[in-house]
Amino acid sequence: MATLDRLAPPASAPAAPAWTPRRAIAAALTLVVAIALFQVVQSSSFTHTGQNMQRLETQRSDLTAQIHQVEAEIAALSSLDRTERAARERLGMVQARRIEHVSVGVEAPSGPLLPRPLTNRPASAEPKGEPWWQSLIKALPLP
Amino acid sequence: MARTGRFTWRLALLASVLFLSTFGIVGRLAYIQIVHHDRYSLEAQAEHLDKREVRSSRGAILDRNGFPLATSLDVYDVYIDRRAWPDPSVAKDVATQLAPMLGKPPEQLLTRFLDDSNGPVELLGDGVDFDIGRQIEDMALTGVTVAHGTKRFYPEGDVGSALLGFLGRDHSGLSGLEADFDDLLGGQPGAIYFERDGGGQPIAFGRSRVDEGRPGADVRLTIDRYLQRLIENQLDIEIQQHQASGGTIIIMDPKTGAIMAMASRPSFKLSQLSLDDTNQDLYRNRAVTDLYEPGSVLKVVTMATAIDLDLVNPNTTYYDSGTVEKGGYTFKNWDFTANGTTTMTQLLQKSLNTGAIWLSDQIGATRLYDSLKRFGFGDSTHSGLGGEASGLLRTNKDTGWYSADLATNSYGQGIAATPLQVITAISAVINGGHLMRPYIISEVDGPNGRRVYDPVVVRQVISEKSSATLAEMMHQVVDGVPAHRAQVKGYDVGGKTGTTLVSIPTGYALDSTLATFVGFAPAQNPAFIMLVKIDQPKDDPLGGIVAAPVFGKLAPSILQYLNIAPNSQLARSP
Repeated sequence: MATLDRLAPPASAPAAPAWTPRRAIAAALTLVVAIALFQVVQSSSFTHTGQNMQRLETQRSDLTAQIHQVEAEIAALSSLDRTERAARERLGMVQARRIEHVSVGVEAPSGPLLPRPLTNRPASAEPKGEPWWQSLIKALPLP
Repeated sequence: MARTGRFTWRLALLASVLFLSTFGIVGRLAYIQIVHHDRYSLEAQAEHLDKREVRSSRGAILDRNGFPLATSLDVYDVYIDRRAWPDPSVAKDVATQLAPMLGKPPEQLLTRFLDDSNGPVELLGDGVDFDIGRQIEDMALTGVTVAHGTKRFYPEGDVGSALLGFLGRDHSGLSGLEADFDDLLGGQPGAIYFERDGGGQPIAFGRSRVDEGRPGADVRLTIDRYLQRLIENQLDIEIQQHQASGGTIIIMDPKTGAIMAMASRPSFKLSQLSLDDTNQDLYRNRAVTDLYEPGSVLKVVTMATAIDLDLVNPNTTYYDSGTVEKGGYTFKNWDFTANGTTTMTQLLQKSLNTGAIWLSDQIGATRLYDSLKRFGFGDSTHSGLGGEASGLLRTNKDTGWYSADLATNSYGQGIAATPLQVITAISAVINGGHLMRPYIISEVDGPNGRRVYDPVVVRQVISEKSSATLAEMMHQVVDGVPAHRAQVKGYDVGGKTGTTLVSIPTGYALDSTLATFVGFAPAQNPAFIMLVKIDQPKDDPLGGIVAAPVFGKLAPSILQYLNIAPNSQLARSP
């Protein structure tokens, strides 16, 4: 019997259960930690994006203010009072006492002979060419 | 032990109370959270959220060539909250740091900090330069807050002050174009919604939402800054020279009704404006708000009516005996002359009252008043300018009208109009007979797009032929009279003078006149028409002496500026 016993195949060990309470707890903890981390990352990202937005809004506000400031400076520099003062004091010009009219065979300019106003809209922009990646796709020997 | 486990009435009572209480609480919760969810949700939001209005950027006012007459600059308003300084040493520290930013001595600031007579919160500085304001904001000083705002800036200084008007402390228009077109310029204010703490301050990185609002539109006027400055300077000179009480000059494009320049005095200066000044008399645009009797300028309209009705032509004659009897009154010419046989052109040249009365007899009361109404008298021009008066025109259909009124009305007395109405009517006389609606805005460019305002023809008042005849007669009134003071070397001009007594509640002030002149150039194809009115000149009462020369002085500069070529006789070949 002893020999028989020795020859007999060893009894197979009982299969460990795949879902033990310990594993379940570990998995649950992992999930909780993952969710918590996700929350933290999301919150951090949200805060970071919020800060970025605030920074960009401040930047935009600064740039808008600068644009207004520069526009006002241009307007002040092109004001009639300043132009006349500069003409008189810096360039030594005086009011014309006698105006000479010369008849020429060319039509007078249609617009006023003044510097271009700052608010004049630029001529409509030329339509942009196709983007580089479209050119690249066209250049490739694709079917 | 015998009572253990028994359901006594006391236990039942307790259970009932508990059950009812629980039911009541659950019911109340359901009532609050389900039935009135929206209401309580809003209340909760109102408790936690706050809203701060953000002013939209105000649009610029541009002249007809796009040069800004009024624009806005970004600035900061600096406020202090004394409740944040329980200890004066904190206030002193803040004053020391803030003083160099505001360019004030620290002691002065500290004195103001410690004076709480204006309450705990006070505006320390408004319109602080944007960069400085931003630095103050970054310093995060205790008890100091800054608010982003805007400040109006006038690149051309005081040019067009009464026309442009000004803003109040709340940045809304109070007078002039700023008030008339406040809706367009001001836009729609935005708002910031944010979570607040117990003290009402925004919670850092709390929920917030920004409603951008709608920025104001840029308004382009028909006004030309060069012409505006030109007439304002000249008006000031003339008023001083004639020791006048005031005056008005308007330049208009007679073909379109576009107002190219408009100035009136007395007025205020934007650079010296004080919002605390309660005297509002200086703020109105007298060119559209104040009425006056047009006087002899109106003879042109009477003549136009007669010519258009084919009753007379420039060479038609009448006999001027120097006096006319009407309704029990005797009317004489302004210079008490009797001119004998006189043509219609001479009538205008000599500005004869008897001739105008003769014309009114030919026309008849009904037809003359109908014509005056068609020329726009007695009705606002609907230019869009604030406070515009309609004028006064009493016709033969109104009670209190006398036959003598027809006589006085024919030469511009007993009828009241604004300077804008008069120049609009005379424009219709010379521009082919079209009564144009005067306008001052040519374009609005805003977030809703660009809108261009076209000239509006109100009605045809006389025929083109009659208009051409009248333009030539008015040309003869100036260039046909030797040494007329409105003449311009090298250009054909037309016009008509007017002199009226100043009306007072009891009648007329016999020692006080309004000297006027309406002229245009070039006579054959008018590029502009100008009305000059000098109020109560002390040195000379006559329009021909006081007002006509103003046209003569200004017209050459205007014609050159508008690139109008002179007569071929004046120009030489190169």
